[in-house]
Amino acid sequence: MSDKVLLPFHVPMFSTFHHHAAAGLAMENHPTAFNEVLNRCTTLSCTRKFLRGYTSPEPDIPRNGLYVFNSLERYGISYRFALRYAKEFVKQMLDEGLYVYCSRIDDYYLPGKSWYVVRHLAHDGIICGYDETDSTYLMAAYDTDWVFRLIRIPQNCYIEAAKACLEKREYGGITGYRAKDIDVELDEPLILEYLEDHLNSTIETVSFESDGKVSGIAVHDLLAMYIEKLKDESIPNDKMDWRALRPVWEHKRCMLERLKVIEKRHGWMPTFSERYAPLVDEANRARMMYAVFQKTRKTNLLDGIQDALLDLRKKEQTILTGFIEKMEGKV
Amino acid sequence: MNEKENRVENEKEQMTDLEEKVVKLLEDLVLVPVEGLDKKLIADLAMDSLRLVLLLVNLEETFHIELDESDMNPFLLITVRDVVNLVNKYVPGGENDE
Repeated sequence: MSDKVLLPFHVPMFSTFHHHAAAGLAMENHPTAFNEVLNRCTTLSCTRKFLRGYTSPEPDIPRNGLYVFNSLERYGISYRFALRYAKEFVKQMLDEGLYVYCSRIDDYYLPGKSWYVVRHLAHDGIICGYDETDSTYLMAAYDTDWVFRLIRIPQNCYIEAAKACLEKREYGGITGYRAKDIDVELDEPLILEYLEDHLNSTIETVSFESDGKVSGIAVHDLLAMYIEKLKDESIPNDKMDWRALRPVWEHKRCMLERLKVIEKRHGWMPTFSERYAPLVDEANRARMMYAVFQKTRKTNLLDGIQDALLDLRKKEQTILTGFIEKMEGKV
Repeated sequence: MNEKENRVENEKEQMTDLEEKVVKLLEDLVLVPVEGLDKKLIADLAMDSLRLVLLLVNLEETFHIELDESDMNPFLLITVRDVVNLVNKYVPGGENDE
């Protein structure tokens, strides 16, 4: 048995949330599992609580994450039962080629992790490897700079972090997982259905009477409304959700990949993907402007971000409408 | 001094003030020597998204410039030279720098 194991690591397409990144780590290293991401992760969502004072729009990519994909096999156990043997479980899982998702571990005890010695927060991480020579794990997680990367964490600190959450009745656990040894097909009728849903959910269809989740292309408009709240400071800038625009960029990257794959599959010219590619750059630019705003509080940047969001919505509507028409002729 | 060090030193000697300032600014961000204008920001200098954002913020502060929204995507800056060219758009030759 080796003293060291490290499973493949890269920054996945979706990494705003640890449970999204966890799925990507396994699925993007599999010949076809990523097709399930292309089939399902077609839209964006957010909540409307920010319209009534909540400080985050809670953006998300629906139908995404470790616990929802059929192409992943998962073996989970709660710390309530596993804590005493957690090191053995983790090692055995890694030895068998399973990534280890750790839910609800207290960042406060984990050197290098986002809230280390700053805040007690039940947070997540993905153990990708171990090194028995210095009793450490290599955990994929957000670091103290909020950059998603591999962090070397002493195994004992990890146990402390799990124990701390358990004592507060935060019942996290470990889930060993990997992509199944199956061939995952691209499901074009499903993609078509989801893309139509995405485009049909415009801002005109959104009710402002409730706070719940909204999904679809209207999310761009809602995020622009969130930016308005930062402009008029009805949401204090120091409470802003500084990751609010990252899922938008991730959504555009995934959509571009989807268009390319479908065009290639049918032998079409890359007309739609070439028109869509600039949207990825625009979404990236918007999130960078947002990050610069967070550092500098230059409010003039917010107008540009709003414009970018509305422009993205408009262009996406046009390009995807054309793409759907093309697909309908083929599916 | 070996051949590589000589080459780096020569290149540094031939740099304009603006290029030197950009290199210094990058070195402060990445905490390693920036050996030449063709070094890649991500591949060679291991810059991550946070540091790319800080780069934009620091460029504005150091050179007293305000970047256009169209220049706010640091991922389009591949090499140190691209950063120099970006600053040059706003302060040609760096004469407005002082």
